[in-house]
Amino acid sequence: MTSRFRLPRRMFLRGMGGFGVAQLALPPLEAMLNTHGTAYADGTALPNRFGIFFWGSGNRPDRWAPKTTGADYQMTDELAPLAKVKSQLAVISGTNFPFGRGTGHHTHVAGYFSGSYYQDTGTNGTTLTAPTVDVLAAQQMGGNTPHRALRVGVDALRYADEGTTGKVLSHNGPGDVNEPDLDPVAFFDRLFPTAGGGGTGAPAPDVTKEKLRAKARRSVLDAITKDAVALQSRVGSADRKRIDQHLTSIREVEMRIKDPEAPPVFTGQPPPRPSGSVTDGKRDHKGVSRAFSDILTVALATDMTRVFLFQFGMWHTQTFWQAPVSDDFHVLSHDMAAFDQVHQGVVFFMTELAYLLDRLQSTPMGAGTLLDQCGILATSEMSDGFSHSGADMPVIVAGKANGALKTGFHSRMPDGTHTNQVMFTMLRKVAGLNLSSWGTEEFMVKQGIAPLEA
Amino acid sequence: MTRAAKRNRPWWHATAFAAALAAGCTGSIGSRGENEGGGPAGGGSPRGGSGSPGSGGRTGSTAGTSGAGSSAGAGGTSSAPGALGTLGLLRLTNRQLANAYFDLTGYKPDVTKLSSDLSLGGFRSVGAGQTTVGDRDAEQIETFAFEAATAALAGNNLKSFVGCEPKDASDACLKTFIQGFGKRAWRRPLSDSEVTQYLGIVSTVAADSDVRTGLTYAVSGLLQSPPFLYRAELGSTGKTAPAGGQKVPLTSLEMASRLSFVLWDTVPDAELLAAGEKGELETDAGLKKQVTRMLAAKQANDFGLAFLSDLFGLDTLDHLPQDVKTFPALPTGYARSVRGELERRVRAATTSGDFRDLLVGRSTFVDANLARLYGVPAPSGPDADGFAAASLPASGPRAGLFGTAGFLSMTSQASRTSPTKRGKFIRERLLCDTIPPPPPGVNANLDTASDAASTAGKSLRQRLEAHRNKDACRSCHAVMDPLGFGLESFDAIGAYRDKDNGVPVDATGDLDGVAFDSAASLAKAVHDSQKLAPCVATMLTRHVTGRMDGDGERAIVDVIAQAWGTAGYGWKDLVERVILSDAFRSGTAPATEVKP
Repeated sequence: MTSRFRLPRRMFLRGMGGFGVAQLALPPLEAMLNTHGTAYADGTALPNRFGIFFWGSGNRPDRWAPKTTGADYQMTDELAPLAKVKSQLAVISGTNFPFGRGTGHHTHVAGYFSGSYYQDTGTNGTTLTAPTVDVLAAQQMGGNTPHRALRVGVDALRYADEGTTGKVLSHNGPGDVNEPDLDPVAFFDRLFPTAGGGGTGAPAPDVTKEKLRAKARRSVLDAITKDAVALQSRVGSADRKRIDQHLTSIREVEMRIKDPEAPPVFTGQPPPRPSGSVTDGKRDHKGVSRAFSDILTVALATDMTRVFLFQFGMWHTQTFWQAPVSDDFHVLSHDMAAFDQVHQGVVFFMTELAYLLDRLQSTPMGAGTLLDQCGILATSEMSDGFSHSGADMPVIVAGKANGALKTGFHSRMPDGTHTNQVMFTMLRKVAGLNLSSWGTEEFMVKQGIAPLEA
Repeated sequence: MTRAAKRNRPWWHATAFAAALAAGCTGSIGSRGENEGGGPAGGGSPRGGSGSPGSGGRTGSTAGTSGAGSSAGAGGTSSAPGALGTLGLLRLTNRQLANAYFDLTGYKPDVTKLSSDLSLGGFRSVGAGQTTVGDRDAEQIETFAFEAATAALAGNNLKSFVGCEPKDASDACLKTFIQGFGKRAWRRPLSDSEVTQYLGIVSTVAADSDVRTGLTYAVSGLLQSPPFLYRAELGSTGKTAPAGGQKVPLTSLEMASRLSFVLWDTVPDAELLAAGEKGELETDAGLKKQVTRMLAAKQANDFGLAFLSDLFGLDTLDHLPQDVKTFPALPTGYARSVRGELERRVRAATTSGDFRDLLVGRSTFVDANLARLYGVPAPSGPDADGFAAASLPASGPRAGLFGTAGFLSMTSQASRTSPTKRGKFIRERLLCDTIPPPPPGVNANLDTASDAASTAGKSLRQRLEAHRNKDACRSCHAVMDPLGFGLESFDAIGAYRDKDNGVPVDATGDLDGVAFDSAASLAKAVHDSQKLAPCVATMLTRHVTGRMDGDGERAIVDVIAQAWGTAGYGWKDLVERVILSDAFRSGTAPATEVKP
């Protein structure tokens, strides 16, 4: 509780990337980076960024995996939208998610993203027992950034039944979820508080007043921290963990209190403020996804966070009418007559993934691009949603994680390759966790995906 | 784990489900408390069911299994028979937070900026026993608290809010204020060190600015601190926590807070808090007096609606998938119309009369959209939202909840009805039967060859019945789909039809041995079911206690349901019985040892 937020070693951008980013106030690059632009001048490595892009209910396996492997593989219908960033992708096919004690969306979400079985909540539903990978990555990577992780949700349906597993991907522990930001306008205002209402910016702050304000806020946060600790001593062990989580949140708020005398972490113009999340009376999934992509790109470039979760949808969804499809994606996945629509949906998800990756790729950082510094896993909890299959799971990893990952190929993994090996590589190579194994029971893995690891 | 329930197992356990059990739904299909093997409805409840100290008495002790029915749940190990669910912290729901801010400061926060309430088992109160405060919400609540404090102390408000005009930060009246306001906000007196801490904020900040600013930060602290944000219902007075696993009553002050947040969704008023402080809520007479007063007050007007909104999942109405391309008859503002009707019917059912009329009654409320859809006269003398009371034809198929367009559309898919969803709703939410998830690797397709040729000339019922011929699916779908078939006279937006895909609708079936041949007679069968009253009482108990029921609650609820029926099924009668019962007034003390 004692350490105050110190601005991270500032990250500056160079070159003429996309909108907004190009207009950031850029100091001389040479002062920051070594002569090759591959590390800071003092030798500190450039930070990795850990990302998950998730959609629910799977794909159409026959239209997903490329027939050929290697660098010159032929992209399939479902991957075609990603052609522009092909060199930054590792397409990994042939991995299998274990059958375990039963299968289904809950088992897969729990086993894949937390490495453990779910547990019953006793409420005709399930919840996760272990933290999800974004939480693990945030614990490892998020200590010096204002936001340990940023999470966004493109689809806004919150499925009412079946516990927490079907509602929100990110869990800290049982029943304890991290709901994503669903409103891009609110998300924007949260990250760029002085740029709201049209991006004109606020008047220059009165430093003396701001310092007093920061001091007063800290005294309040110190007080409620003491209150939380006192409450913690009176409650049972499960509630104690909840208060621990709350304490972590208070610490994060405290870290975000800016020192008014410190140089601003963000001096340029933010991306355009989104106009809303609804069009034609319906959720504008496409517009929302792109607004989130634009904002996340700047947030990652300016080191507001190093971890993000892009929850395109859980398995139950609103209708992705812009895909276009005609119903809940889960309903479609279970209807043989709607397989073309499932395909259409996956193409839609990949088109929006491509938009995000293209934004990251168009943002120069050091000698390369922002995407070079990322490791982003794009995946679903199953392959063929129709039969809840875990065979030949859809796995794409984008970005080189500053050289920790290899990209630009399709690799078909040998039989017996566990899909969680992908997570193992993500956690070790991108998040930097020192693991010898990850997961429990059927979900435990002790090795990564070799072709992916540089 | 369900000893009490087993002893009193009604006849239908032995008969109606025999086929289902034999066919593979073993250990999972059954009513409340019927899951011997610990299926999804088993003892692994969020509030501990029967309490497992080792796992915090909170969740199933083993990893879940999808459909395998082998998750033992928390109940298997150490619980005494008859144990109540575990007590603990309930986070204020967003509505409670908004109301509390308003009642304490006159400020209305936009709580849609917070993460939405987590609903578990259908109830956000149960979710409130599991969630914590994430960083985004902590920051947003800090802003709310500061804005609320600023508004309360702005200009001339200060004097009336604080009760004095403090000269400086050492003014003695500040202590009185912090004690008084703190008690209202935290629903208990502050300890001396807590008072000192918040007075310290006043003086520290005032030293840099002025007393008003100092007070603003102190008040903002009280309004974002965990004792404000969580209802600590621990059954102890603080210093001496009872041993885990022990049955304990809530303290009188805890009862004041619980009553207020449950019945009014806000902080206690002065009278209730005073009754709490004087220990009056530990006595039957004192409790009854307050419950009667509170139920009669206007703050309780939304109580029944809040319960049934959660139970029925009315938030689903915000995401109806049906669109005008598939249903040209779908009127503009349809979602608003169907919600308006349901809310009015629920209010009526929770105001007077036999609560079960909600299922069979033909008195409803329609706006112009619904009048057209139902074929009744346009509303005359409508209210501000365009609604007026209406009577549905006495002999028609449309009656009660199952006849409302809201129910019928939220249990449908985008382009067709879903007898499975409709049946599942009835089984799970009205009869408290449990349906496990589909078995592994199931081929969920309706037709083996789902081309136009195979669906042509077949009703959905005919297609689903073929589906049910698959062994893996039959056992569970056999208890869901047939109930849904009873509602096939209504399409996916709730319009009446006598044919589906050209085939005359066959709405015959049976509910646990009681035959029906129409939506209205299905509704009557549910209305008459012996499972209905215990189920409603169980659900209400979950809603008001914020925990899933263990053995203890089940035994209590069975008695309540019996008495409720004898007394004529009035809504307030049920509420009073549940609130005055031991299930509401006590619980099992949580395990306190920290697991490594």
